Amino acid sequence: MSAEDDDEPAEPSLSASAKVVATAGWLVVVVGALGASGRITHFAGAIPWRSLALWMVGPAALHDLVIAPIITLIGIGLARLVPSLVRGPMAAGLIVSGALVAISWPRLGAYGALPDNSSILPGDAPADLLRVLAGVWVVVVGLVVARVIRARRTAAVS
Amino acid sequence: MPTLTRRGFLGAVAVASAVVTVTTVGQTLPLLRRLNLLGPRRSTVGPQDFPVNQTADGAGVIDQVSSDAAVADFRLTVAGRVERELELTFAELAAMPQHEAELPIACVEGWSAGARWRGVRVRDLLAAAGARDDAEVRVVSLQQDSLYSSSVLNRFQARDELTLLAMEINGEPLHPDHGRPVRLIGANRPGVQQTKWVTRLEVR
Repeated sequence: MSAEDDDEPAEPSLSASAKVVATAGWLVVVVGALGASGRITHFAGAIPWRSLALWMVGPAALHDLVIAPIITLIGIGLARLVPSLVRGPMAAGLIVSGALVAISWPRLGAYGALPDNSSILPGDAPADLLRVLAGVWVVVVGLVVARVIRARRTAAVS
Repeated sequence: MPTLTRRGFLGAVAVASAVVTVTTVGQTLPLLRRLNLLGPRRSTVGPQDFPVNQTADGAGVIDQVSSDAAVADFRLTVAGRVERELELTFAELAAMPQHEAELPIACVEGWSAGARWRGVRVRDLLAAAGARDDAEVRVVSLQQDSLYSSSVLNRFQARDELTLLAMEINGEPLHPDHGRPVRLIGANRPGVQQTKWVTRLEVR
């Protein structure tokens, strides 16, 4: 990590296309802020500051204080256990798997399910998730195998 | 050697976004329906293979719509700015000219599903009641005390030939959860405004 960071200039200058993207991004932020303020001022009753604050701050705090430290610890552990050829594909696989588990959370917990409405959250949530995860990890294993083969060839040549 | 380069990390995030999209978007996109493994809805799951948001039980109308006796007691009223008020039984509605429309329920929650609906054109009912050509219509449900117990058809929607009070879905009488005995279905309306268990058209 640090070796790579040292190679970068202290003040990276933005390319023209990056400036266009950044400008578009900031415009979207402004539109979102205007929309949010419009929403807030149109509440019929008292503005629910507490739940608004919970919504705005809660996810960030949960991520920074709970999820990120756990992921970091897992990452440190894996880095020690796993050979370097495997680490990249494995990290990518974990990122994809984490996103899939996160969006499956409501289905796994059956949040929002109603006894008289079978059309909400249909299917077998754990089995469906496992099928998709299996597909992801087949690709990860394929990438690792490709890397190992390439590394052996390089070693043979040199 | 870094575990994952910055470019690799961004690539992994992009792949994660793509996988999430592909495994959920089938709840609204028929082409990818079979890959919809992780979406909260499936467009062919529900009574009569069609999803439901509000059930008849949940809406508190089940006693008024589930039995044949209840449907025999059902009346549809057309009132308001009309030359003659109408009060029609289910049998009288069924005796009127029936029309079909291939239209989706497109829910703001993210799912949508298409069906072939069959029923009476709203504009035929308006003509029978002697409503003006530019009439707007409030469509009122048996369901009470809900944000969605009524919806408004603007003057274009009210005259549209696709705007039906449907009595059938895909050739079958409506299930109570789909709005038995009659529901509104029209083009370009969010699902919550396809009012179910319709009992009254208020012309204005």
